[in-house]
Amino acid sequence: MKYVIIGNSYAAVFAVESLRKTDKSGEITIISKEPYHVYARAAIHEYMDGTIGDAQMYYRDKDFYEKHRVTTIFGRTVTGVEPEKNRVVLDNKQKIDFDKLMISSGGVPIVPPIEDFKGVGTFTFTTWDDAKVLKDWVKKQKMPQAVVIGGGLIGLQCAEGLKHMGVDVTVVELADYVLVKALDSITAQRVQQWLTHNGLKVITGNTVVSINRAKGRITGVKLKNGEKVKCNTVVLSIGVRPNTSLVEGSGIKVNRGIMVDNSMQTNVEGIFSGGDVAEAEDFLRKKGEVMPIIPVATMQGKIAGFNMAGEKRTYPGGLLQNAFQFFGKSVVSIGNVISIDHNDGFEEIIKDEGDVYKKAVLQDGKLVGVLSMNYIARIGIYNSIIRSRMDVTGIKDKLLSDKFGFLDLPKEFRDEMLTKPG
Amino acid sequence: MLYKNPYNNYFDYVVQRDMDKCIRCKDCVTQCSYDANFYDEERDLIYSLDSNCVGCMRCSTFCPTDCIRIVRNPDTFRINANWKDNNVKDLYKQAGTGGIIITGMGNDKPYKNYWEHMVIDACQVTNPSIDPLREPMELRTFLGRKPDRLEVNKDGDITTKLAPQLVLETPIMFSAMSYGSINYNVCESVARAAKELGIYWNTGEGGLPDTLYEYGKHTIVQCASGRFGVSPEYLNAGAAIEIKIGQGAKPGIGGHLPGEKVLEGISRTRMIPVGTDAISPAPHHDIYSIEDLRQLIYALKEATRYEKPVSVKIAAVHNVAAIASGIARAGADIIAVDGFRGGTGAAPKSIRDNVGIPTEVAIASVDQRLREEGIRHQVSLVAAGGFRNSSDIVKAIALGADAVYIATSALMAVGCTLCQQCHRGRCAWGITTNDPELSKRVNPEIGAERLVNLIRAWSNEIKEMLGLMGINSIESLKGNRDRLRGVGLSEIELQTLDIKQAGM
Amino acid sequence: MTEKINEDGMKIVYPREQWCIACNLCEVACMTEHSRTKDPLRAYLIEKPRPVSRTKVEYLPPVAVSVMCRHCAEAECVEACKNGTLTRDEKTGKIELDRDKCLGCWMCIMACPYGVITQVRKEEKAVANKCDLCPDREIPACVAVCPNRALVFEDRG
Ligand SMILES: Cc1cc2nc3c(=O)[nH]c(=O)nc-3n(C[C@H](O)[C@H](O)[C@H](O)COP(=O)(O)OP(=O)(O)OC[C@H]3O[C@@H](n4cnc5c(N)ncnc54)[C@H](O)[C@@H]3O)c2cc1C
Ligand code: SF4
Ligand code: SF4
Ligand code: SF4
Ligand code: SF4
Ligand code: SF4
Repeated sequence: MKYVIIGNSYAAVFAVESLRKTDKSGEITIISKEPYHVYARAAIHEYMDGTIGDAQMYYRDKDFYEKHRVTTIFGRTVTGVEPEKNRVVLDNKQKIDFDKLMISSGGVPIVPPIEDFKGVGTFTFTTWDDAKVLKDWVKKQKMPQAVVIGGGLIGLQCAEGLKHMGVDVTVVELADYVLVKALDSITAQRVQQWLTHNGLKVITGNTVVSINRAKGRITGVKLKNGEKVKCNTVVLSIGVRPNTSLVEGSGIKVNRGIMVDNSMQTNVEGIFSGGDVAEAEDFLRKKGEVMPIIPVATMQGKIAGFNMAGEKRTYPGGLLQNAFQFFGKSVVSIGNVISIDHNDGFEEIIKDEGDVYKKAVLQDGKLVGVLSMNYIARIGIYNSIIRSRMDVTGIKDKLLSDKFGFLDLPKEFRDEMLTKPG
Repeated sequence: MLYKNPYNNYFDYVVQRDMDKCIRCKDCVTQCSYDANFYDEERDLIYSLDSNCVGCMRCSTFCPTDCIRIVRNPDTFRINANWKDNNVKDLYKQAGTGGIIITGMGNDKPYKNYWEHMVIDACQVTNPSIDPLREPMELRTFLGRKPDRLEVNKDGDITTKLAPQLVLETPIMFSAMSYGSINYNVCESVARAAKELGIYWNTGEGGLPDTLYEYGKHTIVQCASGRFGVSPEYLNAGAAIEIKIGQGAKPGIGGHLPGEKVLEGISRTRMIPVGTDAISPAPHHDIYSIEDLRQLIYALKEATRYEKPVSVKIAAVHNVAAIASGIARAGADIIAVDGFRGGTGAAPKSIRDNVGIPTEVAIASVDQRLREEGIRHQVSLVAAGGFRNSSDIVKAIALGADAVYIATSALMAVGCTLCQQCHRGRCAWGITTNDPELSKRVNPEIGAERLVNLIRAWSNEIKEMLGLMGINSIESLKGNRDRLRGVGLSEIELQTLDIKQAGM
Repeated sequence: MTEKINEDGMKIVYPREQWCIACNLCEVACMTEHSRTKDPLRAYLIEKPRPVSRTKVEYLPPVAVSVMCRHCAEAECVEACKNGTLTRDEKTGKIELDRDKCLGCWMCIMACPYGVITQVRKEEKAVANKCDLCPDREIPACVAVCPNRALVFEDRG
């Protein structure tokens, strides 16, 4: 059996690990356009500002591929997939045959039409190379001044990294507040205040329309409202979209991402997908969704791997989860914490005391989301509750207590969790 | 303490805590069931309210850094040989409450302890001692009526019809403690241990919970004046039946289980509503004479097809020998005599400390009397009340007992520290309480193990003592008073015990 | 959670809540076992950073239960970890945490459905802290200390 995996990141690693659990002999080949041993994409900002070094960047041990008997083709891009011929085509025209294929090519940064964006001084921020290049650039600037376009997670992490490096940073966010996908307006405002307190400038409800250059060098950006911000560096980070270009014309169905069923298989038998490139079922909304987060990528990779090797596994649906830290403050967001429509059976419980803000979102008596700022102890328990779909109306008043735990939950649930192997 | 009547606030113990060693683990806070230990979050301090402390040492034994000392309150009244500390405190308490003072456990007054005035004989030169590690040593004991004589047929088979017997692998049994006065977990610990040891435990007057019927072969079911939990199934579930006439800790009065202790399981087993006081009358209302007792004994035998021995338990009182003789004649197979140091879950202090006589003398005089009347073999004699170790037991058997009952020692094996708060139902060691949070402090797996350890240890010591006396069977020690000598006893005391002065 | 299979079968610590008496000794033992000095007093009072217990005693009278890592067959902490600090040792089945590698990003705390990952200080920063089944001991510290056998070290796979 020949397995080919496109991509060498979170989803790919889990696919390899579960493949090897089930199929000890099949051939596995990983193809990745990046020339690196698998690394922690989500830590590139910490690499950039020097918080961590190479050792902390590698996601798996040096012998990972050897141990799992994986052939690697690094530094090559897959340009096409040919399902009827059971092969993929690389940028050097080389063809690689497969019996089963896993497409985990991740996401690519969205680049909007900004005047004069191309040229020196502009960067995206999703790869190790991006981080290295930006780091070198910033170090060369006498008075590094950066504008980060996009106040999402990656943009803010990049901004924090730059700040630690002594860069004067302005974040420009189109929405009314930062982290609009993961936070509610209250926590977003507090995060924003905290960022400002730590020296970042944050502009919301605005965006960059053009980049001003003099002799090719960036001198500043112009915002939608006409305002100008001086800078010599622009980082574009308004989000990623599924990297589906390699399947164009292949017959593999793409909506926003590559569409997969609950076994992570695409519409083409034998071709699977997972991670940021895939569109799979959202646990809460019960419809296809691209969820570009690590726990979803790894879980999808795992399920895909098992199914490719012939061990039937069902994807339980993805749940949005995120843990952020900015200048030492933590926020965790799980499930559906925004879009509250009170007419739709939604209910919010909020505990706002001093530094700590906690919110639970209920829909028809069931927990669907939790948001917590400055208090994250044992927060993962809420995942179990959300996944269980249990009715929590009876424990509403305890749900956000600092003491909340398994003893507040039904005995049968607790026994199921605590007395059986995890 | 604030809001407490000062006259009632003379307390006995002080909780000393070395704050340099306290790691704020809060163990002492969760363990104290008397609300004596607290954690102050704001100051990050553990502190104690000494006036609530009963000296049970739950906290000091649990503290992982040994930083707690429970000490006698040095605060003292003016020393007075007549008005001792407890006399004064009790008086104040009653002046405040107008009530009878209730307490738990056995008589703790410094009456003469005869066990400590008797010594055991040993072989030297002329008669060899026996090494129990090398030679068989028999502790097996049979309780029940023995025949007047044995008839044997030509083939050597015994033709005499034998009365039912209890077979004990060692002459120690767990004395009556009712389900309710002790909780289910303790009952289960005791029952499991009895089974493993090949001995018996006694239900007391609280009935037998359904789930403990599996231990029936090692159970003595009690039938007391309240008749709680008594049914045909119950009587037939046990290996023997015991009629409780009296209890050493409170001769002449009945039992009382406060309503707060009567929870679901207890109510079902006792067949009374939840929350009602379970009060057993002082006398059995159908027993006013030996003839009445005989009727009950035979009614019970009838109900169990004469398959089970019937025991009668009485408190050791002045006239105990004559009473025992009557009981033997009424048809009992076993008589249990409970001395005044016997424990209780709740008794008026004035009664516990002043009524009844010591087991030692009671056993001696009962055995003596039954022998004199030639009916000793018709009935087995079980001594109860205050056995603390194997030598107390050896002495009791030498004085004439067939076996002994232990209760307080058994509770101590599962944790009891003798704080005497049994009646409050808040036992910090989880024994005499039915509070679900406290009851689970006794895990029957551990409880049973500890009880088994204790009885095994004592049995081994008994074997050692038999060996040094040159005896290889417990049967040969029974009533063998020549093996005892008195030390520091008056002539009349020696006479009553029917033993010789040491040196004679 | 996905369906899980613990193929290898391994011993982990299971709480038996009917016997837990909320004495917190498991927490003290765990903290002590993971201290430099292995002395509860020094661990608590002197050691900097102060070690943190990897088990948590929940107490809601009359019930109490000590909760620590289940060493999940398919661990959600491992799946969420950003940089491979958390891994499964395929030989023992143990979920291992490499403190030197930990970023302190709290993805694992967010993901663990049992809520058993805590934080502990390591030099200037905080890193994740979880049950390691006491590698230096035959019987884990919490199990050994528990006075009421409310914790057992068993293979229920
Ligand atoms: C800076 C940053 C911070 C982040 N922080 C978090 C966070 O805190 N929490 C969180 O949950 N998520 C975070 N994410 C998102 C997370 O990194 C992604 O969800 C995750 O990387 C998705 O993994 P993946 O395996 O789907 O693909 P990716 O990590 O996107 O990797 C794609 C792989 O495919 C390869 N590839 C792509 N196209 C081709 C091709 N045509 N041919 C060959 N190879 C190809 C790439 O080289 C790469 O190896 C962050 C991302 C970034 C960039
Ligand atoms: S546990 Fe016992 S000894 Fe300790 S303070 Fe409470 S009552 Fe006193
Ligand atoms: S048990 Fe000991 S160490 Fe723990 S809080 Fe109490 S006094 Fe302090
Ligand atoms: S040591 Fe045992 S009884 Fe004590 S809190 Fe921990 S699990 Fe519970
Ligand atoms: S930390 Fe949590 S998710 Fe990870 S193995 Fe332990 S119990 Fe499972
Ligand atoms: S097994 Fe060891 S590390 Fe795990 S909770 Fe128990 S004491 Fe702590």
